Amino acid sequence: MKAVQVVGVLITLVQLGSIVGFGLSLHTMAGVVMGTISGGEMGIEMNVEEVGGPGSMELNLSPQNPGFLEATATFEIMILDDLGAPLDADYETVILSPGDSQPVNLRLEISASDIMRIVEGMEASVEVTISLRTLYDLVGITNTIKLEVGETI
Amino acid sequence: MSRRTSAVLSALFTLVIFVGLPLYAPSQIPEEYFEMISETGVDLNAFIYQIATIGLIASVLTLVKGFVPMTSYIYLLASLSSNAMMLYFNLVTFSVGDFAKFGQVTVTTDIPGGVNTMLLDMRLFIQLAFLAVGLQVIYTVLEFINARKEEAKAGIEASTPPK
Repeated sequence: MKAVQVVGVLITLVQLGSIVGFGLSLHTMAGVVMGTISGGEMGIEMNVEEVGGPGSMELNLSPQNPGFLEATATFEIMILDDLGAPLDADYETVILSPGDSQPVNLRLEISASDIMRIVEGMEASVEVTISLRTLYDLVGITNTIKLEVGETI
Repeated sequence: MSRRTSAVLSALFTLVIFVGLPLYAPSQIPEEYFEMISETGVDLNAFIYQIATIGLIASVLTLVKGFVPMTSYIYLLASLSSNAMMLYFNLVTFSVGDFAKFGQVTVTTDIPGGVNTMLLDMRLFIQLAFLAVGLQVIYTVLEFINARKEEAKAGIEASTPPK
């Protein structure tokens, strides 16, 4: 086989690999994002057990992977004060095989003094980050939603 | 099919897909979608014009390649320029218009009560595009050298008097 033919075959392999890899990774990432959002069991819940006491915030998700590739998904929830400093954070990483679904439960503990500051009008915010990696962690998408606490509770 | 006919058809196809389609399709998209996309920080018009420019240059290069001999340096230059255009197309596409981002795109949108930020990491496909174009450059040069050798061989055979 001539060198030019070998290079031609290599070009075809690289191009085909790119197209197939791109299609499969996009399909997997879109599938996990859609599967997480429309999983039916997604919700943020804030609880304050007694007036003047500490509180907690829970995020429950059921991410699914309808794609053809394994996906590593990291879910993170963080509550930030008005200066952007984290008051508390929690995260969980799950490896989703094709067709797999796993529950993710995240919990934030908010101290009584921070609850008071929020009640008194501190502009706190909640940041929820979904980070997905697929195709041997070579391709990824990170989606961060930042909401004012007043809008959340 | 002759090289010239093939080049004309190929150039026309490139023109329709990479120039006609990107310039026509936006007229079918409602204005509010354009506004929505521009709010994310993506300059859709600039992206479309970049794709159309690449398509136009690629069409001209395809025509040039079809009308000059494969042994000429113009052919080599046109082929190498086509490879460079292909790389630029990949950079622009995977970076949604801003090739300097090298496949890492951040899209920010306002949502009720907050902000949604999406970071796409497509650097792998940029690296693969570099690899593919690098191989294409090697292919082009090898093809050119082979064509020159063939031409030289044919010239020697033609100038040798029959015994």
